[in-house]
Amino acid sequence: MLSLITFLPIVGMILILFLPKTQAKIIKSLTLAITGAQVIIAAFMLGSYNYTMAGINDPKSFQFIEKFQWINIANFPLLGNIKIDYFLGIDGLSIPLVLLTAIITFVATLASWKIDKSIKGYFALFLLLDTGMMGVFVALDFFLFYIFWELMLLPMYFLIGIWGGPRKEYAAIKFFLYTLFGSVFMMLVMIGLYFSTQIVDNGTKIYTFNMLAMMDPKNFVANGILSPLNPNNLRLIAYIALFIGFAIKIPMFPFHTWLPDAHVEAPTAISVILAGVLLKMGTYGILRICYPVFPEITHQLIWFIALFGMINIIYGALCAMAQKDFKKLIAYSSVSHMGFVMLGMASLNTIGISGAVLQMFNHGTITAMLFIIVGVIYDRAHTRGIYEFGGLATQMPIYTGFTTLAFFAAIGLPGLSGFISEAFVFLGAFQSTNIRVITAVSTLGMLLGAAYMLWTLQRVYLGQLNVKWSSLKDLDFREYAMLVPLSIIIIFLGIYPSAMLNLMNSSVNAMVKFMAEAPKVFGSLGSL
Amino acid sequence: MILSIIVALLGIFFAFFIYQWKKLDPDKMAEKVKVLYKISLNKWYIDEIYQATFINGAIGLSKILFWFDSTIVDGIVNGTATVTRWCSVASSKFDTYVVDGMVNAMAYLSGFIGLILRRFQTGKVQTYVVLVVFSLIILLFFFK
Repeated sequence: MLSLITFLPIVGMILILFLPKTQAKIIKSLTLAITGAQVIIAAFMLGSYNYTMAGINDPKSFQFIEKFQWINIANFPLLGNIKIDYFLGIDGLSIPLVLLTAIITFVATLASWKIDKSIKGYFALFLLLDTGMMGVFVALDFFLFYIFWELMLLPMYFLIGIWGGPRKEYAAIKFFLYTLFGSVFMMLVMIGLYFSTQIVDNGTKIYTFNMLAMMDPKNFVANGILSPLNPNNLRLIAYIALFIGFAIKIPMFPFHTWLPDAHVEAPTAISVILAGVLLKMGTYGILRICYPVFPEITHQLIWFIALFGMINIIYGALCAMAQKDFKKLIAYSSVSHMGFVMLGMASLNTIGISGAVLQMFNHGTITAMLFIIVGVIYDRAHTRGIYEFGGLATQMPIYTGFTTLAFFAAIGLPGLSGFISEAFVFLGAFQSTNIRVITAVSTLGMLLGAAYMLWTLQRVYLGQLNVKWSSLKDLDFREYAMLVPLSIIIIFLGIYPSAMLNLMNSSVNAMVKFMAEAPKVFGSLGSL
Repeated sequence: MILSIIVALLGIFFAFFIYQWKKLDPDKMAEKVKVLYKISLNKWYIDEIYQATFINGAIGLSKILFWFDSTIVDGIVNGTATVTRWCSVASSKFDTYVVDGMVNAMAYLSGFIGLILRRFQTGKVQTYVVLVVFSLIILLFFFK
């Protein structure tokens, strides 16, 4: 099942490569069919998902597991037997993001409909990107995870660099190099962990990339460089390096400057994917790998995670307020909203982490909608300057209605999904006594969020209509098809958030329990 | 509570005194306590103070931070790229002039040595005999 949902886009990509490039309609329809099929598979998985199985560090309670031997080299010089598994599985942390990826990719396909430059190449790369994203959320082997992580970079580079705006080359290479910079750290830590973890396989001990084995204290190698058994281990440095690798993706201050450039230059559909899915890979990676593999270091550095979350929230919001470009404003608002995810993660309790995961999902849907909204106006007016508009509400009332919904959801208005996740983040973070001051300061971010969102609403949609825009048309069918499903999700999760919270509940509980107990276990190992 | 009711009633009574019963001329009153009148007329300037402090403050701060973001934070990122490019130019120059320079220098050197040595390769047997004899004498002189 997971292989199907992950590699279906690759099949689609190969089919597209065999199609003649004049058949634009078939190429687009095929992509839509593939991404639609992904949504159906994801929905089916949701239907047969067992809510009581926790996952996190227990291989037995993951679901839809697929595990095969992939690379097997016996008696390799110096390294011995190398065995790498193809290991996929999902738990409550990953299923919301698998759903999100399926939905956002489907919506982004619709948003790509008006691409007119080398359509075949665009959709082939688009589907490759889809596989990379889906793979990151389902891989449970670090090596496989890393491959999917890197796989996503290449299509993204071309999608921004070829189909982007005026400064596309600059934005594309900045995104690529920045992420690669983080990936290098990740690879070093991955190799360090490989040589610190051994499992028993057919009676012999072998090193492994299995993430779940890395979380189990009984698998540590005595003299491994990242093993707690080794008194001179480098776990703190490794944690920081791995964290930076993921923090670039979130993006966390001060590693965030690739984001406004990439978002502004990328075509609408790619901005939707960037904000909707790619940013979550960072926070997901921290929850999936950093937290359970290095639980004792997480406890040591938790204050800093919260602090950077706070900086993201306030700093991102203030930077958003200073923008004159609509798309750049939304880009900076993403920085601010991802700060809430970090703050929620730093609480280390069930409410806070649930809020963080829910915020990942909600930010995905809300920001996707915001970027589509910017795309709609840019398609028509060919400009995104906030000060060039005004009074659009009279000219495009339905469009303004959807915008207001998305803006209010982003502000965190009760009844819409953004409120639930932000409220949960704050509820959780206030319970965590050592980050209480940080949490208190962070609440200011909600106020600033309302300020820049409402100010934008006022400048663009209210007031006197500029005569220049008196011929703009309201939404067409394709735009309804993108905005309506997202709006339904936003309202549904605002009214009935349990649908998503129950899904992740047992996993989040297991995570909190593991994180609470682990420092003792890992700490006592150090004195052996 | 009683005090505030008394104060409020006094105010209401005073307003009736001036505007309803017209015992005092409001314009003259305003002229007498001009400052108080102005403050009262402009709602204690709350809106203006709010605009000047909170709104302009937040917008000003946001502008400063965005300047910081695009100049300093992003400047460091772009600066890293520039420094890397300089380093690449420097290492390219090093490669062309020093590493490859040494390779070329070896070629030049052998060419140069060749230029000197060709003088001795005259093809005349007599010259060779003289050189051999001279060399032998020198060698004998050294290793006697």
